[in-house]
Amino acid sequence: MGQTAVKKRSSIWFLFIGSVLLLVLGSVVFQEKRYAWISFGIAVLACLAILYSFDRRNTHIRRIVLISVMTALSVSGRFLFAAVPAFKPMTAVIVMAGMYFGAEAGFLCGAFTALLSNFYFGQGPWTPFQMVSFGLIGMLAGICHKPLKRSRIALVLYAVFAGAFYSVIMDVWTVLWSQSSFEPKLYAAALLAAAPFTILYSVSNVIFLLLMWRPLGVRLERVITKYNV
Amino acid sequence: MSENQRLLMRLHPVTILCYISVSMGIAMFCMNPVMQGCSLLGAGIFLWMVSEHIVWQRIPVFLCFCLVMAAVNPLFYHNGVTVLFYLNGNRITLEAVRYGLCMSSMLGSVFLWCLSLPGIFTGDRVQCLLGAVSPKAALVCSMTLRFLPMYVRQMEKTKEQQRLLGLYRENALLDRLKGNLKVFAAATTWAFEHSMHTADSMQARGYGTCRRTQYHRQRFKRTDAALCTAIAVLAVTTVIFIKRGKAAMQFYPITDALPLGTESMTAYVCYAVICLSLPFLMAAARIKNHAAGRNR
Repeated sequence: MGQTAVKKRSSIWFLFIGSVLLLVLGSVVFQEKRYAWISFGIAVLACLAILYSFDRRNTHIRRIVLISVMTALSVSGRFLFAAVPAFKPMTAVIVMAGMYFGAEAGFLCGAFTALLSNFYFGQGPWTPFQMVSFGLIGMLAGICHKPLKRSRIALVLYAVFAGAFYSVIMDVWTVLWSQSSFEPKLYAAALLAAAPFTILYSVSNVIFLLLMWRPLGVRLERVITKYNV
Repeated sequence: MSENQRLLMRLHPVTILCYISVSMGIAMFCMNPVMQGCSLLGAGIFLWMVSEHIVWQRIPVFLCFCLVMAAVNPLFYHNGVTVLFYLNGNRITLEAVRYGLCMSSMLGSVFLWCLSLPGIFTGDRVQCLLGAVSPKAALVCSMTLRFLPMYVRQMEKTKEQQRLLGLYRENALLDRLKGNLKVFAAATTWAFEHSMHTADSMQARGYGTCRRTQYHRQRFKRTDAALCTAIAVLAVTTVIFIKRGKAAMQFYPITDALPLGTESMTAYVCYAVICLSLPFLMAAARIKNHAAGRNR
C-alpha cells in the first residue's frame, strides 16, 4: 500500500515537472514552432498520465482483456474499410467501449486504436493528437453513458458531435504544424477544406452507431452481467 | 534480413528512438535551409536503407504533399517586403515563398523520418519500449495485436458457415449487409466469450500476484550508452550554437542572409554529424556488401 502511494506521488511529480519543463524549454529554446512543440508535448503527457493511472490502479484482468478486445474490433474495422476514406466504424466501436466499460476504458480503447492502427496506416507527429482526440471521444461517451444507452436521439447527436470534434482537433494540429503561430484565418480555411471529411466522419459514425447500438450493446450488457466485469 | 537491418538490430530501441527524435526535433524547430537539407538527406537515406519498397510507394504522395505545403504559405501570408505579383488583390511575396519552401522541406523530412518508423519499430521493440512506460499498456497492445488476425479468421469461418446454411442471399445488397452484420455480431459474442476464457486462465496462472516482468532480447549495451551520450552531447551543442549563432532564420519582413559565422557553422557540423552518420554507415555497409557479392 505504502509503495503504491509513493509510486502514485512520484508519477504525479513526474507529470508536473514534465509539463513545467515543457513550457519553459518550449518557450525559451524553440522560438520557431513553439506552439507546435508545446502542444505535441502536452498531448504525449496527457496520454502518459492516463497510462500511468491505468497502470497503478488494480484493474481486474477481465476488464483489461475486454479493453483489448474492443481495441482489436475497432482496429479491424479500420482495416475492413481501408479502401473508403473517412468512412470508418472505429469511432462507433470506441464510443460503445466508453459507454459500457466506463470513461477510462473508452480513453484507452481510443488511444490504443490510434496508436496501433497507425503502425499500418502511417505513424507521425499526428499520432499523439489522434490518440488524444479518439481517447477523448471514448472518455466523453463514458461520462455521459446514461442518455446514450437510453435514447437513440442522444446517440445520433453524440455521433455527429464526435465526427466534428475529431476534425476540429486535428485541424488545430494542421495549423500549428504548418505555421509558427495559431492563425485563425488559416484554421477557418483548414476547417472548410476538411468539411467534406467532417461530414463523412459524422455520417459514418451515425450509421455505424445505429447499426451497432442494439446488437453490440446487448452483447456487451450480457458479458458485463454474466462475468461481473 | 538485410545487412542494414542487422546493423540496426544490434542497437537498443531507445538508442534508435533517441537518434530519430533528436534529428527530427532539431530540424523541426530550426528554420534554416542547411539544417533542413541535412535532415532531408539523412531521412531519405535512412528510409531507403530501412525499407526500400516504401520509398517508391510513397514518393509521389510525398512530392505532392511538399508542393501543396509550399504553395499554401504565400497564398495565406502576405507579410514580407519583396512583392512578386498580385493575386486577387493580395500580395504574393518572395519572403513568403522562401518560408513556404523551407517549411515544406521541414515537413517533408519529418514525414520521411516517420515513414521509417514502422520498419524499425517491430512488435517486439514497441513492446520493449512501451513495457518500460507501462507494462499493463504493453499487455493490452500485445493482446490486441494477437486478437486481430484471430478475429479475421473467426469472421471468415462464421461467414462460411452462414453461407453453407443458406441464411442469406449474396446477390441482394440489403441481404448481404444484414448477413455481414449478423456475422459481425456472432463473431463478437465469440470474441467476448473467448476473451473471458483467456482472462480466467491468466488469473489461474497467477496474473497480478506480483509485479509483471517481460522478456525481450534487447539489451542496453555499452555501444548504446556511448551512442546515446554522443547524441545528447552533440544535440546540446547544436542547440547552444543555434542560439548563439542565430542560426534559426527570421523570414519576415526581410529574410535574413544565411548565417555562416563560426558559431552557426559549428551548429551545422554538429547536426550533420548527428543525423547523417548512421545513414552513411548503413549505406557504406550496403555498398561493401554489394561489392563483396560481385567479387564472389
